[in-house]
Amino acid sequence: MRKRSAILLLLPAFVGVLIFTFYPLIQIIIPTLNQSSDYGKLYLEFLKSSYNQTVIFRTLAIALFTTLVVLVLGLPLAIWIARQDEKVRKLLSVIILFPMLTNAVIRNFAWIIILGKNGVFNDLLLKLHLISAPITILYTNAAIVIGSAYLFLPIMVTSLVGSITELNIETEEAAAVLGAGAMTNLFKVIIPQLTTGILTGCILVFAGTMTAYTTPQLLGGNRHLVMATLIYQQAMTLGDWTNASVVAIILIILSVVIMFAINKLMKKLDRRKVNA
Amino acid sequence: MLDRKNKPLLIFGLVVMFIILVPLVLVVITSFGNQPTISLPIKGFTFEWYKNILQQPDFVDGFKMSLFVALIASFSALLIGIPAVYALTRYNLQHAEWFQSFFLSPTLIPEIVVGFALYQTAVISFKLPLLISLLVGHFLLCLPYVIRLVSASMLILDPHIEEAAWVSGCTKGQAFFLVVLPNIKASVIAAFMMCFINSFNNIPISLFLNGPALNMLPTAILNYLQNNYDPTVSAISVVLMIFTAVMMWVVEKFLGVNKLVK
Amino acid sequence: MAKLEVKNLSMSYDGKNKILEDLSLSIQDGELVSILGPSGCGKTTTLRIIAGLLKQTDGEIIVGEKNISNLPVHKREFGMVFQSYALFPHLSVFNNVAFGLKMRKLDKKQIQEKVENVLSVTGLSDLAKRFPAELSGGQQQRVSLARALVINPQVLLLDEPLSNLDAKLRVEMREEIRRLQQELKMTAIFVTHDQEECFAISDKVAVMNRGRVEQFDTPQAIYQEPKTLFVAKFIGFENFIKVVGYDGEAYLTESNIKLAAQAKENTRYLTIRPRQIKIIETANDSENVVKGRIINRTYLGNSYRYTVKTSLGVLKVDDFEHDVLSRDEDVILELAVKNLLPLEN
Repeated sequence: MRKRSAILLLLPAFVGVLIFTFYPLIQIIIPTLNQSSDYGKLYLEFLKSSYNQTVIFRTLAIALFTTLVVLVLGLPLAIWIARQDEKVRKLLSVIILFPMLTNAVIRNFAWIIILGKNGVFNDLLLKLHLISAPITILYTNAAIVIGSAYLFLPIMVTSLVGSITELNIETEEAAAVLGAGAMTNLFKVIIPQLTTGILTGCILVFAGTMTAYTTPQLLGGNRHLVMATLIYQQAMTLGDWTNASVVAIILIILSVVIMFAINKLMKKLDRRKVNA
Repeated sequence: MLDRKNKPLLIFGLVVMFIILVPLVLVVITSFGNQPTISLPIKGFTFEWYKNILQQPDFVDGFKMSLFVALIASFSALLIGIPAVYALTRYNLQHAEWFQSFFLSPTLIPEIVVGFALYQTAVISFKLPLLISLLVGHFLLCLPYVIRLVSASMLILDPHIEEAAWVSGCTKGQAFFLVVLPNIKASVIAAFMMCFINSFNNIPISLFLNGPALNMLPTAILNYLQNNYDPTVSAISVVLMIFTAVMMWVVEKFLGVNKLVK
Repeated sequence: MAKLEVKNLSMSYDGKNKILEDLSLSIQDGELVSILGPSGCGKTTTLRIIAGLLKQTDGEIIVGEKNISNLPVHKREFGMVFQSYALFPHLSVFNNVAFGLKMRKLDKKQIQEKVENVLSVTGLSDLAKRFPAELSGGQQQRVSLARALVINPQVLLLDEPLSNLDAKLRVEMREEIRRLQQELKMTAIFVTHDQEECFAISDKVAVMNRGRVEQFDTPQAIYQEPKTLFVAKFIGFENFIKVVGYDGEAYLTESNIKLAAQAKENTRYLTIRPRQIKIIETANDSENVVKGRIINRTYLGNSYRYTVKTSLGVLKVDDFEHDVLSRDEDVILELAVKNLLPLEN
């Protein structure tokens, strides 16, 4: 009786996810394996191409750099926000939340204004006579990193502020009494206690950047494809849906493996909880 | 000590906050310039570009369509997600955690792949209308928010209050609507807002699932931006920012914006 | 209000492990019966089955003349007080109490009247507009009670209602519950693990262990004449002497000593309260005398507690008549026949 009603309640969601998430995945995997007698042929061919290797490497490198930039900017900011009075903290959190809830196109567009040939940044450098002619930043890998970092910084900060406010500030006071300065405290007391929060944030940023479409599309241009934009190009521009599927599968595998690895690392590093 | 009084931390904090806000401020400023392309500093002052938004059928129709899709997707995610959460949190199921991960699994698939794969299954294999496929895609985007936010508050809620309602003469259904729902209201609203905002802003899923008659606002802006560089984009951006701000204000009014991220 | 009969109740989740086994209870109209036992003994399960929150594997529940074994919970017309109080956080005190009446579709005037009445009986009239979060533990408890009472239930079920209160409030509330139950002549079942609490307010007590009722009797009977080893231990007996046989006059202990006591079938142990063991000056000819040596002494305020090593085993003896004895002193103990109680296993 009870069991039947539980099943009825779960069924719609279960069927929905099954038919529209897992079935489609299987459906795109099958053609990539069935093209020839050799199952892995398409994947090997794809991975052999140096162009594709560059795309995969670029995807990972951009995700890595973005994660680092977000961490370096986000951690101190999160500490600063977390250490404010409750009122100020709430206000700052809302300010951080606003870009997070604003459309990614708009946020990327803002960086087009800044990084373009005649953009704000070049203007500024020219006026300061640091450069004599506009430099190219837009449509480079750097632009993608900047745009992605801007996109994901609020997520990292929000997730870190939560864990930092839960820290017991007396541990830092204890360290200070024992002679630790601000920097020692940051690296020896705060960060070690935040491993879980930091790595959770890193998973979000890394996986998010790696799979994002809009930012590389807008800020990278056609010559700086990443895997997400490659999928679209293969499918929509070149009409090669099987090859697009190959990229999609590799992208899923890479992102899931990386998330899983960071998760494992996180569990290993976090010794604060007794392992049950 | 790294507290509020730490000078370097204060300076660093202010600089990063500045970096976070300035780009959006620049967008706002450029929307009022009266040159035909976006440039800073602006010359003159005009509302022309705001009027121009209404001349762009892609923007107007896209707005309506995005609104429609986001609303339907969010509501269906609540309608289908809340019963699942209820079953997961109240029935002592053996594999509850497994189901939870299963329902959250769409988040593991890159959005662009969700759209790409769904196009092949829903549109090509199942021959579903494009609009339905698009709604399904957005539903998959929304479901995990409902599962996560609502189950968090269901776990906090004392299960005995439902039993108290049954003993008082409520059927299971009455107890859910009279006792459970009012007490998880905040998380339901929060989940709805997160669904709505994320669906409304989504590009990757819509990318494969839109068509000539099915135009979403974010993809319309994206297309426009790839072909034009005039302040109309700034203007529509400002409109959307106001839209976001209003939604945040509404949420703050009802339950505090901080609920959205918890 | 009615007589409640629980017949041969069994409960098992997996068909193998029995949580309740062949449990029967009979509760007269207007009686307050406690179910007493350690955690995991099945007392809460029993209550939840009676309430209809759990479905029994086997057995019947009869209220008055009506068999309600298969009636769903919302049709059983019971009132229940939960350990966590389970007040509806989104409703005011008034609406919490009115909830059951609204379910019964009473008209507004009647609801108003009944709620006000029960609020005044429970001393909550001034708090009607407050919300649960604004109340103290004791006040929440009263609201929970009022909510259960307002529908004039056939049976009032109380699931460890006092365990979240501090000691002083607990005594106050249990007297309040007893007062209301007697005033309203309510049939009630009170589940608790606290023997003092249950003795204080019950007409009868069912001591439960491992899914069975070990003894179902008045508090006095249970206190004075526990039937089984478990009941005796649970209500605080400390001296247990294992017996291996009965020769028609006396029991034979493990250590081959004869002890006279009331003859009873299935006796496995004899027990005696520490203060009923007498320290005597000289061994007389009377029965049940044993020598021992004091191995520990504790001051208890109005008496001394001696731990005495004897050939019957280690015995606890409370003494408030003699001068203070010290460790290693030899003593002679008398275990009077009338105080030595036979116990089943």
